[in-house]
Amino acid sequence: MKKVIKLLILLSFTIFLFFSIEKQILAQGVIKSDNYEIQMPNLNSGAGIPSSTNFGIDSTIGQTASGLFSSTGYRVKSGFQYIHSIIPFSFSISKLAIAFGTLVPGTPKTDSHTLTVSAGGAGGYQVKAFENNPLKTFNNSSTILDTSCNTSCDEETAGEWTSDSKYGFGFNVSGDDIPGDFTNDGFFRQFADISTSEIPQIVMSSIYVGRSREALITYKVNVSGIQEAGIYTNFITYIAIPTY
Amino acid sequence: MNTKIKYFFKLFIILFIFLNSISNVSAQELNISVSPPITEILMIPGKETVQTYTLTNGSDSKLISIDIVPFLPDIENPEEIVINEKDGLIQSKTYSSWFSIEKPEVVFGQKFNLPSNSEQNISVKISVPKNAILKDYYFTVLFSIEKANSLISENSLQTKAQIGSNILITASEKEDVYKASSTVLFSSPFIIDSLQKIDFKIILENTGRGFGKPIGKITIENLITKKTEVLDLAPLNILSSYSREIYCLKSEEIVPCESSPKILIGLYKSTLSYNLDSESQIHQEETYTFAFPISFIVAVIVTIIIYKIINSKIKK
Repeated sequence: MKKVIKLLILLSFTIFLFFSIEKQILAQGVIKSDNYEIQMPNLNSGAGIPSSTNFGIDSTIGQTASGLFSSTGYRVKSGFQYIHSIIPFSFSISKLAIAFGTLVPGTPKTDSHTLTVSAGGAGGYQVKAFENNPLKTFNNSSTILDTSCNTSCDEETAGEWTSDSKYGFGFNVSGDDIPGDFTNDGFFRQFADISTSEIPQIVMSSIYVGRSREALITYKVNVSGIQEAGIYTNFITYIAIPTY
Repeated sequence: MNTKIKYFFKLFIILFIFLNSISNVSAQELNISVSPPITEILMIPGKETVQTYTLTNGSDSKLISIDIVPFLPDIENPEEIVINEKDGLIQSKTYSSWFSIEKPEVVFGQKFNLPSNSEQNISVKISVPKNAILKDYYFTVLFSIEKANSLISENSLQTKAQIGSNILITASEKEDVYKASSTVLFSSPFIIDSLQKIDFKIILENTGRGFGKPIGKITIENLITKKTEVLDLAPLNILSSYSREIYCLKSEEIVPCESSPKILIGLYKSTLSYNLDSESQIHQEETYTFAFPISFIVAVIVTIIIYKIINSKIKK
């Protein structure tokens, strides 16, 4: 009989624990909108309220009033319908010039900057990157090739690049919404080279709300002893686009 | 002593203000925003409209140029926008008659100065030609931003930025564009632990003539208690002839479609019901999930085993 009582006590204790866990989960389940920076640059007219037979949603600001389409020949809606205000899409880069200084053969040089994207509450975004060409001297006489990492990597797939005897130019990305192949800060990719018709590749992207999403881009260059002396440079372009 | 306390107190306040001001300093060399992020246009060919974009520069002065590039979603991952800048108005003449810049007085590709910490309204005239095929056209307005002067004196690279805003145009003679859709996937796990949430994957296809938004909900019903929970679908644009994964909307934010965190026990029927904008047909799909207290049972079994071990040791 005592055993049964003990078992029941233990069982009650387990049940109690079970419900305690549940309470903790409930406490985390609240999602709220933060304060928005609201701008309404395009108040064309009063907004309509689109609806269908069974469902209705709030509308955005735009030229949507009934009958206007037939008179003007167009209907315009600006911003995302599920947000009551038009929230700007923002993109920032902490610094525009990346300096490697003097390159010493077999001694990798790195520099980095931070990309920040803010899409307010307006859903997803993507940031793509490409280079105009690999690092070249001003007169195009010499090139530092894009890295092949320790074994292999390209503009679509990162590879580990830790060996100082592997030369080239590449980048690593860490932080929010980054591609999964950048496993750690030792993994690098080439930039898509637009001069050889390579397609710009995603360095940050999200399908959900993007609010001050940050990624650190680290550039790395390593040259061999036979690399021609000179000042090497190129242009990297980042394209930040909100979702549709 | 009192003077010393006052002195330290003042020093503390000064340090506090100083450190606080340091954290507020913006170190961004480029900080740009565009509004609106998306423009949806339904237009009769031959008509025109003007869309104004506000470009805000929160950094020092920059050179800006504008281009408009057609875009398409990536086939494998429709969330991803694929643009080819060689198809843009600057490089290609395909859509050059469709767009012009009304304000400021520049042409596409021409660089102009955007002063530091300033706002610039950019008005783009959009006119769909009379002979345009009645279908959808998708574009991204690209604002290219670069440093006004960049001297290169060492091994280095310069970065440029482009920020985009999308334009979805449906060329149509009438307001009621044919809308149709179908469900590619509506799924949930068949069996879950009682402490887990039911998460849904929804992929819808737009089989109509113009882009549209699914308007609908998922109703989760416990078949024993008859209690229900409703999740609203996010009205995300699905482009014509494309499919897209759809998420849910909660407090004006896009979130994964999943049940709220609570103990689930029993059989749950989840019903997806939606239509695409003004589509006459309402689509309905069902899925079932069985929530079983697996972790609870495991906890009980472990407790009994521990109890038995302790009990046997006490007896010895």
